[in-house]
Amino acid sequence: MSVIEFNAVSKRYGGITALDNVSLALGEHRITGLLGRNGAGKSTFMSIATARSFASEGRVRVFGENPYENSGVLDRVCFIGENQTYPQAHKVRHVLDGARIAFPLWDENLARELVDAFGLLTGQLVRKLSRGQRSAVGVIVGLASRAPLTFFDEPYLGLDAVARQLFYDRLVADYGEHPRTIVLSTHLIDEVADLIEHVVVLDHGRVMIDSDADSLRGSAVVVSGPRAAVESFATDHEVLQREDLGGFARMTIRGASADHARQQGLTLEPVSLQQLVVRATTAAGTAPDHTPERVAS
Amino acid sequence: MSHVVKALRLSLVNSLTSVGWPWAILAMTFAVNWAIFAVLPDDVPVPDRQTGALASLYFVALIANLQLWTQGFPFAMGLSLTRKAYFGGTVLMLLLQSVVAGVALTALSRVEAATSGWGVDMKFFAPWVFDQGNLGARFLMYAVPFAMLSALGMVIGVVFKRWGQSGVYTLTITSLLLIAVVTLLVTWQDWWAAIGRFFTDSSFVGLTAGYPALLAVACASLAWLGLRRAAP
Repeated sequence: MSVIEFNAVSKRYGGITALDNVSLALGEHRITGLLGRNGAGKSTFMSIATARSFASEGRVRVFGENPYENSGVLDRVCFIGENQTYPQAHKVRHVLDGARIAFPLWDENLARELVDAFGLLTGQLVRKLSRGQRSAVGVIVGLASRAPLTFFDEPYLGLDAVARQLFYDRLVADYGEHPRTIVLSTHLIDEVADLIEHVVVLDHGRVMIDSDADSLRGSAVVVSGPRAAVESFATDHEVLQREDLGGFARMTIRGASADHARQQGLTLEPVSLQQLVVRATTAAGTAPDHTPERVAS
Repeated sequence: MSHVVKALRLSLVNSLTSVGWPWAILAMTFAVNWAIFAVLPDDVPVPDRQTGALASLYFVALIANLQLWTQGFPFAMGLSLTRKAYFGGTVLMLLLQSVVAGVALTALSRVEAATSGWGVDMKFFAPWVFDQGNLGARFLMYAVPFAMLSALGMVIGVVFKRWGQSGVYTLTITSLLLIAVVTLLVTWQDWWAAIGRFFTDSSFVGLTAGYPALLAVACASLAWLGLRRAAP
């Protein structure tokens, strides 16, 4: 069953097309990584899915229904955004009190545990917290809400590496015990690479990749060795990137058989998710400093 | 309905600050006024010992409601509430606050009368023409304008959320222009006498509660229209 279904959804405002004819179906009980560059449309996608903003065109379904003003749907949704604002006078405990009222599946014990783990004090004013601490408040609400569909939009802005690891660990642990659908948007792709099961890459409001993470990771390899050998190996395949250095060549190749390459004495390395995303989102020629076919002379 | 109650509970999470401020300001204003009246020379005649400081409660209520919208709405949406539920909860809260204000101020105005102006001949809660009517009329006189100004705060808050700072400027300028045009029209057509008659002919309850109630409903309706497509 698809928890989120976007059918030819576009969003335009001013002269900007934030989403351009996006069709996507995200399955239940998966962690989906929503990746892409700044302004790619990730936040727009999530804010439309949570009925915080509106599609200009197309059909949006969440749990099979239109989410707009639909409390039956929204009761099952939790959205944690990096730009969430809180009332000026709210302390951490007021935010938690509010979340307890709002989310039917709220787990108070988990929330308390996380407050301790992230080193927060419930008596602190939220507006006096550091950027990272404020992110921690969001992360705590997102995890303890146990919402069947939870969005994390860049949830850890300002969080240090230790706290981020804590978030990943808690997310995986809690997800294991209470399977739910999680959509995680992030720029720190390598950090979440082992976490995400499905990858959606947006670029300029369009879907560039919508794939299972494992098959995506296996879809390309970096092959290096003597130039002639690499070239002959690459002839039958799509070359995503190429670097030449003297008599040696290094190519990122899609759909290559690893065994076949090894037989020819070539060196194989896996391509990281981050590299794949960088390639997918720069191939359209959007960033001149990252041309996909870089040839060293 | 359960979602409206949810929204109400959400806006009461930190109620001391959201609901308490108008009353705290009122208490301070009262204390300051009492001190001033206490040192007023005795030759100031009793009919002149009046103050309009009660208005502070109403204007702080307006601001408090405005903030409820600019700050409370994004928070409520962040916790997956619908706009409808948030609106319902906020209106419910506004009505509750108005009832509390009506009851409290009616009681205080009776205490004022019974203590000959808090011992210093100060007319604070029922100055000038407002010192009239039975308990019911008094309750309405206090409660309904409270609801009206709170609803006005709602409208401004919604305009700010939906159209930003420029929206509030546009609203302010348009309102001022409208008032200017109406004033000119009235002067040009020589309608001032008729307007004066309207005020003298209307009942006290009509002026202090009837028309404010209509305005409150109008403001709340406008707020809802603006809110339907507002993004946090």
